[in-house]
Amino acid sequence: MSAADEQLVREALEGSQRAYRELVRRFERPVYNLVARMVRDQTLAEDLAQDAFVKAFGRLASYQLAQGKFSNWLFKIAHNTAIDHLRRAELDTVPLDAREPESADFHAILSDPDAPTPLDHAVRSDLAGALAAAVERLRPEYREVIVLRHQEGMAYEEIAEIAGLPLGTVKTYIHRARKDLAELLTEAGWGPGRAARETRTRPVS
Amino acid sequence: MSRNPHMDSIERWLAAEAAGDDFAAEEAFGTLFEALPRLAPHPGFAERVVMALREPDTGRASWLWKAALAAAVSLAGIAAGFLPLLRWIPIQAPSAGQIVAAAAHGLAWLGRWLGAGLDIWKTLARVGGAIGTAAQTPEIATAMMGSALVSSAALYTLHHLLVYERRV
Repeated sequence: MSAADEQLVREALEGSQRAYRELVRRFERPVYNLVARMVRDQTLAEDLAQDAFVKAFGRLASYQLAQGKFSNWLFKIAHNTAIDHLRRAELDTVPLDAREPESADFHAILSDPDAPTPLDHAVRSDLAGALAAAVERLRPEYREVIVLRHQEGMAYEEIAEIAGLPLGTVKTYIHRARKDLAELLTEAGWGPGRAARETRTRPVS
Repeated sequence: MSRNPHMDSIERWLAAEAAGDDFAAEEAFGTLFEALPRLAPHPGFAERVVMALREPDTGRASWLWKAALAAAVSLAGIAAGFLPLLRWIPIQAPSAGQIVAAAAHGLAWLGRWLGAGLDIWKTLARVGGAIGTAAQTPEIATAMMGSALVSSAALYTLHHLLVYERRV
């Protein structure tokens, strides 16, 4: 854990509201992102992420005893909170088409001012949408490891610690997740021919 | 003409997957995955968490109290269940018995001394004397020490739970 995180944890244990707030601000995005990808419901994810933070702060003293990286400890609590919810609600039995697709503002987040043409922007948005839809169709344990690996940039060992899985299982999950995503995106028409088509239809600027 | 970098990534990735090149596939997939935006909570999330921390969790507190009470009662019950067995336990500690007896005599003397005071002290002295007399028997003395240990354990558990609750 960084020295700044350690200092904030110490101040939080002394009762500093500012330290609690700062810790939340530092980790709200990655924690929320992980939980939201796991439960596939952004409103519910906000409640679960909040629960995870409240639980973590309630056990802050035990974290100090355990030591290690604060973010990993926090992710582990977020993981357990999401898993508990999934087990209770059996959320993954809900068919995909019964839920709302990721909202339009999802695409708005993708706004890339550096995109040279509107077509590039559209392609990227479409790709992001297709990728998000494909990720949603993965098994929850695959979704989690792929997000931790490729969005949080974590090492396999860290993922194994957070998810409570053997190292070999983590590697297998990541490999299978990638294979499944490749199949899903190919089925959705994002195979090799797509790029050529996109290039051909690109307007001359 | 420049191409969308993510289109390149998806091509490289799918080609690597098809070729079974795990290393290249992971690398290309990592670049492609950047297209997937990080989801963010609504503004004010941090404030809501801090507010939630301030709110007393009455459900959890009452659960803790119930757990502590149940633990104390259980410990006392378990200890009481073992008391009759003490009669069959051969206790061969005469020196300890003598110490207990001396302490009991001292307690009885203290009781008599206090008895010269107020009526309440007389009553207390009678109780103390009775305990002292009873404590002269090694079995009873052992039982009393056992009860004291059980009570201490229950009090320690309660204290631990209360300290934890205050931190939360």
